[in-house]
Amino acid sequence: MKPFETSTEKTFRQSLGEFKTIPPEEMESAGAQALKYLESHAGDYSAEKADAVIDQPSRVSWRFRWPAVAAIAAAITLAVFLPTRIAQSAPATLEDANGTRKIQYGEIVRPIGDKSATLSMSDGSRVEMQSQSEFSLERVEDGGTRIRLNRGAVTVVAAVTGEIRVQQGTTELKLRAGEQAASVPATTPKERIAFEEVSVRPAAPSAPPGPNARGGGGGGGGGAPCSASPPEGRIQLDPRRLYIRRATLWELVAFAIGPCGGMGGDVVTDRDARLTGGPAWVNSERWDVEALIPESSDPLPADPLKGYFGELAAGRSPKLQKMILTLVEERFKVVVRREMKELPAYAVTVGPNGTKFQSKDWVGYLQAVPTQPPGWKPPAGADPSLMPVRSTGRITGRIEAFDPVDVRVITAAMAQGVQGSSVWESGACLDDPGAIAWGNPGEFPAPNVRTSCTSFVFLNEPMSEALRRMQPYVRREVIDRTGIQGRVSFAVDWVKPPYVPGQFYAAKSLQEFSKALERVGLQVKEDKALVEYYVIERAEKPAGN
Amino acid sequence: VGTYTEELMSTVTLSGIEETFREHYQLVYRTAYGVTGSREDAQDILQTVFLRLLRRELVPDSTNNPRAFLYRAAVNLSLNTIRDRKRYVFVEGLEELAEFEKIVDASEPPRGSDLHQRLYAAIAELDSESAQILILRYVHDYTIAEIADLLGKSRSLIAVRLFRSRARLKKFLPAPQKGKS
Repeated sequence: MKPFETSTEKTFRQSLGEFKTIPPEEMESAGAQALKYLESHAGDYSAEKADAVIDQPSRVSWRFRWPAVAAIAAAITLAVFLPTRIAQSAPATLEDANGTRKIQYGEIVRPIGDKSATLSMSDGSRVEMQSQSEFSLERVEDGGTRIRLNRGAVTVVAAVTGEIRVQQGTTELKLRAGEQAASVPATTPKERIAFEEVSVRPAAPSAPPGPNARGGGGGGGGGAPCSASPPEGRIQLDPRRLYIRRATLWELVAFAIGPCGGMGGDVVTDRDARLTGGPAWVNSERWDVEALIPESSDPLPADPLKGYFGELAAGRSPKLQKMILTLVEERFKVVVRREMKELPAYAVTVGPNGTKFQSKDWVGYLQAVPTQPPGWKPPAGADPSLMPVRSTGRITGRIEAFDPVDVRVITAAMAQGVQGSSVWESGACLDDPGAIAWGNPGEFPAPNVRTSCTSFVFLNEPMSEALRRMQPYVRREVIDRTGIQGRVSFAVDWVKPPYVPGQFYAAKSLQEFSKALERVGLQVKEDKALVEYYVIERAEKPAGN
Repeated sequence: VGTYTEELMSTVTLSGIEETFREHYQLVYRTAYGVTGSREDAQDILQTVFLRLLRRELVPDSTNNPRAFLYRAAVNLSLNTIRDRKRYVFVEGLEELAEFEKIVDASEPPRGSDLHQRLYAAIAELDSESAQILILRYVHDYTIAEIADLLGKSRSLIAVRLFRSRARLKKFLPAPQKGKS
């Protein structure tokens, strides 16, 4: 056993097993006491089983998500522009609790019943109307049809060959066939999601600013909320408590609206530029924020591998984000305006020969074998327990069993992939049997992995999610136009330049990304996508707690 | 808390669970005490596990392994207890609850070394299965084969999870401090 293992094992045995010895008489006493307790409560026994409430927020592609801030910034006036040819036929048909009826231009329509109603257009496009919504149809100058939503919320599902424009306030989305967009109604008191207790205090002025902090005007922010790792000790999050030390208001708003993760994690665009505005103190003055998370809110993810903070920073803790939004609205009187800008993107389609990956049941992985070249030494400063791993350069089609003690890096990577994240962001090239990778065990994605490729292995992922995960590595929005439904498994990679510690590498060209996806029969084309931007229109310093 | 098995489902009367209780209560208590370091908490957890069993507050699954179920329930409740303790750390910063904090702390018995508490606080942030494996290994001294047998998993998977959990826990530990063992 290696020194690392020996000392660690000893520490665990001593500390975790500190209370493992229990005298027999104490054990018997505990048992007798518990049995007596159960006897006394047997009369309370109820055969009714407690209902299990599972709250799993649905995963919605960020592109078509209408964040709560948009609804707060302005009253709902949503317009859906439909192509000309639709307007030339009967405008629409509404189906609600009263049955089906045709809708004429100018008619104020309030669907009847407690359930949602469906507005069907002549080409098959659908608009799902929330109950108690109110809308009307209007002709527009270009001959199309506008659905004006006066109250409630809608989900638009495009089915036309062209595009449908959905406008809410000053924001407009373009939908292609198969895509959908949902509006979010204005926040009502009963929807208020807030922390149980909140404390906001000005941070002590003597503490030094964070490493990413910016001063000055409203053009940027601290950047810390989007970081993979928060500044040491600044942010603590557990199931009941959120503590952010020395946070700027910019950082708090960034958490709330989720620009960090909205683009797939971080680096598609200059994330700091995506939240702007507000008075100068928004970026300069710092606050210590403590908040108690309601016990029943369950805002945190079930996957501890990703970590609570990571999920929050990635914009995947919607309830917690709403709580933070409520906090900044109520304590800082924040008003945020949402804008959309069109930026270059990659669109992925299926190539002419079809895809080359397997069905959803495939569970393949890179096969790798341990190797220790003569004279190989861990890099300076690295964990001495590092073990180099040599890739065999092929996909085996099944999960290989390895001794975790001898091949710790690869097994940890495998466990990570198999159990959920389904992406391995480092590794040897699939075509490069000689590549050698190393990394600290337990750290994935390893910050110091030296490989010749950026590799991804997706296991039973929806295609859109797999492509979304690649966004940070190509620094662009990746649009799923494959039409592939269900889950898929495949592996791709692209060649890296020589590893430079601390340098994040991304595919820098269309050709590079295209070549990677060619392996599995996918094509990449340049396109454009709408990207969310936010402007802080108003903010006030909070009064005392 | 988790699920319980079809076998237990058929025995949810006091007389029905008594045999189950006598067979497994030591595992539950030892687990709870090992994690929380508190006899009072361990007693509460022991009673809660079997009371919920009695009340059918749990949903059956198909594993039909009462020992594994009860162990899982004990681990989850024990870790919940650990997590709840964090609340006290939090409310310390709120003036209106500061007094309450003092009262709570004064009534709490010692819960072991600082390292013990830190480690279990870190374990409370792992997934339940990893926590179960660690506790079986270091509180109950189970071998990897015994853990695999109880949890119905392969040995290699247990070994991987154990290895990875150790690696993760290592990151939660602070640098050794002077005067601390």
